[in-house]
Amino acid sequence: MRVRQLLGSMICAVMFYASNAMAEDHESHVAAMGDIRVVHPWARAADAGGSTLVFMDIENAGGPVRLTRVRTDVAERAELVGIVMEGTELTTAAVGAIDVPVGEVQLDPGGLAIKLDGLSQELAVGDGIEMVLSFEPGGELTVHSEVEPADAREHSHAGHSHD
Amino acid sequence: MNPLPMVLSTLRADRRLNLMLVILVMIATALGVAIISQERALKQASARAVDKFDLIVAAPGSITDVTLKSLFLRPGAVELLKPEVVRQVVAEKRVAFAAPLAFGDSVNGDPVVGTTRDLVLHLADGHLAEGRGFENWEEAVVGQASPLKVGDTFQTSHGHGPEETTGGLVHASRFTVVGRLPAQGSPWDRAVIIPVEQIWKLHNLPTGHAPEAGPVLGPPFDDAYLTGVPAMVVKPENLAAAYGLRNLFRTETSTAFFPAEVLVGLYQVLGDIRVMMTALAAGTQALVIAAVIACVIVLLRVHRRRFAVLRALGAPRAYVFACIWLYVVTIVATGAIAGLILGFAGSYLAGLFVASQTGVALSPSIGLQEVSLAAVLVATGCVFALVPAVALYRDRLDRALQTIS
Repeated sequence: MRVRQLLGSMICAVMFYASNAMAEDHESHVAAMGDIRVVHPWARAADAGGSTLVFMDIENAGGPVRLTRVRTDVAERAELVGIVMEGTELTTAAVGAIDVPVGEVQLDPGGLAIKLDGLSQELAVGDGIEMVLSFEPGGELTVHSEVEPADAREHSHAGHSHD
Repeated sequence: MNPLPMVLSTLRADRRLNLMLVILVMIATALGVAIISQERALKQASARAVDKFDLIVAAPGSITDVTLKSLFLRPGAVELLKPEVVRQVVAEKRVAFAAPLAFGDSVNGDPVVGTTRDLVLHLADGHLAEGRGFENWEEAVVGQASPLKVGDTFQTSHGHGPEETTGGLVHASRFTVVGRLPAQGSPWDRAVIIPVEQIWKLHNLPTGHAPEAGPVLGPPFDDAYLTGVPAMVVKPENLAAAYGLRNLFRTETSTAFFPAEVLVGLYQVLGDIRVMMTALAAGTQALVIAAVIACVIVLLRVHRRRFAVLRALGAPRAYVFACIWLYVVTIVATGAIAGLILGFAGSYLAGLFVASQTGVALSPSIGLQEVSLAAVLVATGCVFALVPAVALYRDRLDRALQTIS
């Protein structure tokens, strides 16, 4: 009987820690504020003093809003950019603000992104960075981005959904 | 003492072997130069080829397939964009123009593209190289390299590519060439461009306009008579609109992309191939340098007594050292310079082959990277040339004089 109770306690403990870990994992992939939800934010690895791009999916279940500003402690400047090709090289062009219509906007390596310039620290694979996104109307939303390899084309967890 | 006469004399003494060594270095250099030059030419040419196509909207699926079909005019089938999406794209306010593309026919093996006057004028930057844009359903504009001349008349054959043209079916409509596009550096230089309504009509599809409207050309299209298309070329009003439209049409029924996205993938593959090939070329160069030094060491053993005699006659050791070092460096430097020229020639020929196969015009050149590669090879040769030079510098005169040459 005691063995059964002990086993039961152990299974409960394992399930508790597992569910906690999953919740944390889920939280790091999704940030929400009202009708706005930011899913899978991720950044590319970069050296201190350099620059990087941050990508994410922004879902909007309410009226149209605009992403107007981004700030973070890990970079001197954060700017909303579009990825453009100049000659044979990819570069970025500032777009000011990003319209987030009802539905979804993808910030991805072929289109829009958040550019962080003057990184105050090295961004290594597996690190996390905090950013504050300002939506008008809406307010500010803090998101946690995971750092992926410098040549990554998508989030390493891309493909699974978050309900 | 001037070492050059002695260097020239040594080069002449074994001219066949020395020539062989120069050829070895030349081939090793040319290999690396051609790889780097060709990769850059391919990247520049492909970027130039898609430059005028701002945004492409197509049915969901492989954007590479759509790019190959629509921008590089390769034969093959892609899913059609549904008429209701075509309608939405055309109706978008942030669009300067949206041109449907239609394929399926050819003229003497060259692809026929059905589209609108807007895209023709956009490709020509507003000014055709010759003539004007089409103004009715029986007129056509040709690419810069098309054998058709302004004023020529032609009929289109059903199908494009060897698999599709086996039936030999010729469409009834006759077209007159009224204009020629400026060079695009892409397969569009061989294209025959006709009104999209004609492609739809020739394939028994709705023509985009009500029958009672007659042969109307281009937009606005009648929603009730639109048909599916392989792709649409969209010119957004500005940069912000381009990203907005790209996002808007990435849905379950359509995809939207910048052609540069496809090129980035291509460049990654090209870069990986270049890294692998360059590593192989670098290995070859290292082996060639080692072989050259080995040959020189063997060769100098034969001439050991000759240099010993020189020293016995009063030539300083430094003179002998300079002669040997300069001799090896001359072989490596001559081979490297000849390799630069041969590499450029190889890249040029490869460019001609790629252009004949794909229609993409390549302009190979020799850049700083290729010159650096040759310079590194020469520098390596300069360092390794010290080996035989030092060996003869330290050679004991009495023993060297006893050798039989």
